[in-house]
Amino acid sequence: MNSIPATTSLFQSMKRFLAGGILAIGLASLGLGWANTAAIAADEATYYTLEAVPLPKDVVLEVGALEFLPDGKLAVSTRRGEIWFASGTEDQDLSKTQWKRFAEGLHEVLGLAWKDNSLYATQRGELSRLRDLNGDGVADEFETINDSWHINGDYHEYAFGSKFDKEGNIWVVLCLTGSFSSEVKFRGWCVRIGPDGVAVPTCSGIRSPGGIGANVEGDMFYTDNQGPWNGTCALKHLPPGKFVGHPGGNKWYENAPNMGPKPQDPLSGSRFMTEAAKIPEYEPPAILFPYQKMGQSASGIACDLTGGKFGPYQEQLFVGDQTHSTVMRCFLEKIDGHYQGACFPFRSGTGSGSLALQFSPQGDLFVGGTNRGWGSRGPKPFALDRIHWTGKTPFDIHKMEVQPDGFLLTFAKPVDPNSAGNPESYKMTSYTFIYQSSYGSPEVDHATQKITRAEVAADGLKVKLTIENLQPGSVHELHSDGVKSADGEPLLHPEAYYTLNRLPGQPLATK
Amino acid sequence: MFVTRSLPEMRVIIKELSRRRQMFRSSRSAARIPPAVKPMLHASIGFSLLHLFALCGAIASFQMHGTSAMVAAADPATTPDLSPRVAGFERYHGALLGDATDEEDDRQPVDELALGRLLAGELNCSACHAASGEWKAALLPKQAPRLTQVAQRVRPDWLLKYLKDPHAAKPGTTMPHLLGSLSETDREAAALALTHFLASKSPITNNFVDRGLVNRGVNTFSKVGCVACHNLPQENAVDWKTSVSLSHVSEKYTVESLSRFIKDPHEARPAARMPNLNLKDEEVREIAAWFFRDITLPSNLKFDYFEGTWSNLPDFAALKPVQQGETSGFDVELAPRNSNYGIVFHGTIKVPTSGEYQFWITSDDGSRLKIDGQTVVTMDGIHPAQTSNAKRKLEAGEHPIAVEFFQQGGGAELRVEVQGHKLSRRALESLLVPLPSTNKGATEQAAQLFEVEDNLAAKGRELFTSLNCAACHEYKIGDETLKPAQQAKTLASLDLLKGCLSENVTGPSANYRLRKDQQTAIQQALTALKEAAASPDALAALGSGKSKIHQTMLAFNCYACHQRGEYGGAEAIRDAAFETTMKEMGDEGRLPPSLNGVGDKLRDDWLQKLLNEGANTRQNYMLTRMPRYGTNAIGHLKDHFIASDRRPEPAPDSIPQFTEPEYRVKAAGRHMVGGNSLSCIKCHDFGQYPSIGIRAINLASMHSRLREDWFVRYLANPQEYRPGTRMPAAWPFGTTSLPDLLGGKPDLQIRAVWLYLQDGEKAAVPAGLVREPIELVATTGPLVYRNFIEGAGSRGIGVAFPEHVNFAWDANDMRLAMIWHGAFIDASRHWGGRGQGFTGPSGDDVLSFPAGRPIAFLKDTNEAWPEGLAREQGFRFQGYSVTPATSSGSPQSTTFRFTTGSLEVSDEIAAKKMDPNDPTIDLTRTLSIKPAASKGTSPEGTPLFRLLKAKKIEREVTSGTSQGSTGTFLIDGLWKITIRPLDGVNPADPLIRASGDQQELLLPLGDGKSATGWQIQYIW
Repeated sequence: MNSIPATTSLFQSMKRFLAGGILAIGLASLGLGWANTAAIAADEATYYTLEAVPLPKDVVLEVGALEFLPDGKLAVSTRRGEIWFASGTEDQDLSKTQWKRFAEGLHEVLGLAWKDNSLYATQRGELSRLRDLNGDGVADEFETINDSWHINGDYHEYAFGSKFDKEGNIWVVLCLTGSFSSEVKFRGWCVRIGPDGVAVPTCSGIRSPGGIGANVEGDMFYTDNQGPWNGTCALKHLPPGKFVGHPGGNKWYENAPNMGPKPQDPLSGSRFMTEAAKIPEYEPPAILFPYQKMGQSASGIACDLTGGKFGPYQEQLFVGDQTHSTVMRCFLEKIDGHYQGACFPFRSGTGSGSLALQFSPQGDLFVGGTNRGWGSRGPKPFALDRIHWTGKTPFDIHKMEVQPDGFLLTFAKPVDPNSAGNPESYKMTSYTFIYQSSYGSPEVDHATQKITRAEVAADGLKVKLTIENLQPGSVHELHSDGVKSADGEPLLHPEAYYTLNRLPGQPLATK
Repeated sequence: MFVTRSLPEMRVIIKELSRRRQMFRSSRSAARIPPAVKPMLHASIGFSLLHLFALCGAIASFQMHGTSAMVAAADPATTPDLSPRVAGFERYHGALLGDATDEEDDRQPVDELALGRLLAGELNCSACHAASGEWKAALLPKQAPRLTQVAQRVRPDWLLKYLKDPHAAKPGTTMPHLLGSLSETDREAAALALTHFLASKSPITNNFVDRGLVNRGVNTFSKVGCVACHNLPQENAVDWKTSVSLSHVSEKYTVESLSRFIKDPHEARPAARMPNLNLKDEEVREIAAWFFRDITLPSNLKFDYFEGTWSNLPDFAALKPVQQGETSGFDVELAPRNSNYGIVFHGTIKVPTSGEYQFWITSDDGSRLKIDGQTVVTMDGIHPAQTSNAKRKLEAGEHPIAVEFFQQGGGAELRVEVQGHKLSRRALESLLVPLPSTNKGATEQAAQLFEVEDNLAAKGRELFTSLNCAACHEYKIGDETLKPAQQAKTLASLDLLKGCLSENVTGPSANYRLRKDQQTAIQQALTALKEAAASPDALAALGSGKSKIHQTMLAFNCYACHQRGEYGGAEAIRDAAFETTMKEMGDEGRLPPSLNGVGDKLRDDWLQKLLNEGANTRQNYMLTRMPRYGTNAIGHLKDHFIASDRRPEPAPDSIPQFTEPEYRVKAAGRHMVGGNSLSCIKCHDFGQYPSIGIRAINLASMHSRLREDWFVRYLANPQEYRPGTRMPAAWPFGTTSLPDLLGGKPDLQIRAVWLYLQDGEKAAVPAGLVREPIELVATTGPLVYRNFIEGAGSRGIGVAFPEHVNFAWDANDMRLAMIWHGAFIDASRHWGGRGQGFTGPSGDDVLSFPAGRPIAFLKDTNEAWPEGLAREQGFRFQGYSVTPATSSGSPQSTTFRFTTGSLEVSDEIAAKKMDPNDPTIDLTRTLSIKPAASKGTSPEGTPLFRLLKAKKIEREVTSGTSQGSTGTFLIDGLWKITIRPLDGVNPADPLIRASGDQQELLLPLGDGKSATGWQIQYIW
């Protein structure tokens, strides 16, 4: 335990603590995560500004979902069941933002997608198509596209809806009843609804989602939250036909003949990859967000398809955290046909609890937030923020790719070869979380990795770390505090967390 | 036998122990203890020969007995282990401490010497073998139960059995077998004499056990924390090695004496190893009832059984009984049939004191209670279980009673209860006098027949002192406490291989039936104590500080619930017994808190209160309670916790000072706690106000529990103090998200929260806790509210019109569910907090319509309306459209659409009237039905629309005819409905038909092949 002398001012010692690079690794062991507020946010603001969008007066705009319309308006749905259209959110001066209400009376809309002059809204109970037939700017037609899942009146039975995929499907992830069990049909499942309005059961194993979105390949992902069978929050891939972790909803396999037979139940107290080796239908989390270090409530997902308008991280996934009021950044790669990858801190300080993420056509990231029912660091009860790239590239780890004997880091800016080439500039530890039926998990199976070589590539952007004692099945927590950019800057975010499910070329050990 | 080993050798031994232990580890692999915390082993003795000695002992005993985990997992079929059971010893002997999953196994052996001292203390060696105060401080001897009142507590038949062989009668007992070395005849005689001495002249026997309490008893026992030390309350529950066995309880106590014991265990057992759980009387009775669930009592009632069909109690005296007999309690199940019978019970109650008593009789069907031949209370007629009550004055003494009962059909139930004069409400059976002639309940009869013989009792008294029972057990005759006759050697001068610790224990030594590993542990611990005694400081250290805390937590089994350092926390086998009502809080919500740093965290007075009285501050989520141990037992922990844990108070000049006046600082604190800022109230209760999310510990209690210095440090970094807590760091890294408050200084902000919380329940309530109504009001057009609507289901769609008429549509059943006038709906339940639950109409004149599908195809008009949800029967909801009021004057409305599979239905509901001259605004409904575009096969039968179901539906006769498809109906004589076919269609007449004890109004929908429809007006 790091004790803080009580005789000095608490925060003085905290600052000293921060300044002392030698103790940086200790920060992670304190589980504080990356600093979320003023000091670090100010540094982040050099590269990415965060501005609050003015909201309509006297409206409780607890943002549930966001979508841009072809005319440039931003559609904002709320937990109170309204949908508002904002214009001017892409202007430099946000104070001119105009708001008009498009619909009201809906049931907690957590998904918005636009197609063919219609707005598709995922409500608790159904996917609906909203149209304004009389042209007065207000929806008058509320068509039920699909309502095949059940709800029994439990507040936790949320439904998060995606955008349209390439085939024109909308994917809906359905929270368990009370986030613990599946009391009615298809709670704890992902279904995808085709253009014909038919819902196809797609994945089981959902617990308590916080958002859903596709990556650049069009593969669908969702975030699930710490709880039973989820030792920590995670980004999970949704491969059709797979089981993604919580067995509570598996009783509905008999209502989903397309999914085949019900998979074997995982063994409580096991590990993700031990069960993945045993249960062929089980797709383990692609990226684990270590609890407290990265966040506490993973939420919305948005893929940067802005073609560079949002900075260097093109085609990466951005994921919100509701409790920490942050946006995280995710690098994904496919090993043996399965996604895994790393998460990095990206931007802290959103106004409320980050929930919905949406890129704008001009390349800004909009984050809608609420902290009703679940507290957040961001103090406002609801907020809409715009994150804008200033054009300055931060010095951060852009990509972290696994190699059979280590990791290949790609930096966003050229590194100083001396510091980046020194293995002492890096520290790595690994651990995982218990895959168990009880709530959450501590970090377990701790190990320390030895970084034996750090080779800087000729381009000055890539560094190959050769590492001993890699632990497939564990999160590998990397601190690169010693690395400086060619200009001598330290990393904006020295920490990275790679979920090493599989090592290239090393098949899963079946136990 | 001192063996010295090199450190590398020891490391190999530890690894091997670890490997074996791993093999026997239970499935729980979670490491609850952070690896950073390593114990202060042998803090005072240091790493010395003693340590190695302990280690060798551990290994020796490992080889002989395995670890506690192994013993617990042993085959139950093996010979029973009669050795004394001390949970701390069984749990930790031979164990290793630390995170087994660490890459490098640096786990440490437990402090085996502490375990040896634990045994010596729990077996109360120092009661016979005098020991100095320092020795006793290190051993924490457990005082044996007081026996002065044992006759009121324990049954004589049990005393006899127990004295003859304590270990066989009560597995795991720490009482030695003092008669063990006597011949069998002498042992019988001695046990009998002692029993006659200890037993009462008025023997205690069991009384009626309320069966209704038994099941609740299981629940209470499981939840409140008993399972931390005892086995699960199940038939054939696994006997865990670390459990205090309760298999003997029903033989030892009566339900009354057990209740008294559980209510206050410390009266009989001042050592307080069994804590007082501060149970309510009701909980105590439930738990006690469970132990006596199988008791067979002597009969206490005679009964006459009759057969016949009645709708009220008949004059049983005029009838001839079919059967007569004796029974225990008012048991209607003695009837050989389920219906059409009657029973009269006769018996005698013994009223304890004169005064007024209240009697309840609950029955299904009729019943009557008579006392002294007079009717006291009657619950006559045919009905489900109903209760009636009356009061009556009764003299102390015996009174004849009779209870009459009859059953016609359906459920049968009879319960008679009494309350008054120190009797809490209870079953009347508890006052019944057993019948003299009966063979039932032989045990109870035998206990009753036990009579104390004075000569035997005198002999027993002699034995009580000569056998040294009096050394451990307090027994007072008047003011005189009996003294033990023998003085054994002092503890410090014992030969540790002889006497009680020898291979074969013979009298007068006490035979504890020690296992070899227990013997060794005691021998090693006492040897070490002797060595330590050479240096007074070392001996004193064992009786104080960290060592004393550890010894106390072992002896009182605090470790069963609490983790501190590397010890304790719920055992894996018991983990699931710690439950929560707030699963979302994870382990924090169900497991008692870690005691790491508890002396730093808690205020002195709160710490003292906890140790003395127990607490239940986490009752909103944690089912286990902190029980009462008492200051005498564990009060010393307070000073040791403080000395061991507490960080020095910061220097006064290092505490930041506010420049604002105190009221402004408190206002800032209140703001931060409230829902518009840091939202502490999202998770924490505040005084009487429940939080809007999970119900974490009450904020208004913080000031009475916590220390300011700790609070300030904790809020800055909760994870440091409670690893894994869900409590977020609101000031991460000493930064704030509130730059405008108190100069944006985090330390001032935290102290402002503290200052605000100092007012406790008197503090002004923070914002966001009190739910303010959010009344939804339609202003220009129809206002829609989709949510969980009470009366309209989980897919409810409420609609309000500006004319103050409202309705709710149920999209699960495709039906109009309710209509009402006035205020619409208060959305605050769903729009505040997490939005749990259903909300009904805010307004008045609410009319509800029957659940279930609105349309059915009936083969004939006698066919019952099909049950079940419409959406389960092929109905699909297709959505709705909203038509606002337009300048052209067309009325505002909402139109719902659904399909039955073969029919498409449009249901337009508007705030308008069919008759423009009618001044009242009502709801008008236009039902348009047409064949579905892509219809499958039409179901057979005639399609009908069920408009409503009511007690009484009457058609109004206006123009001399009660026929035709247009008309008005009076519903329940209260309100009206007017119907007419849509223009251009000519369906059959509406139909009123019976449905159970109600009536249904059905509208024919033609043949299902052509368009049809109705217009309906609701006038209410």
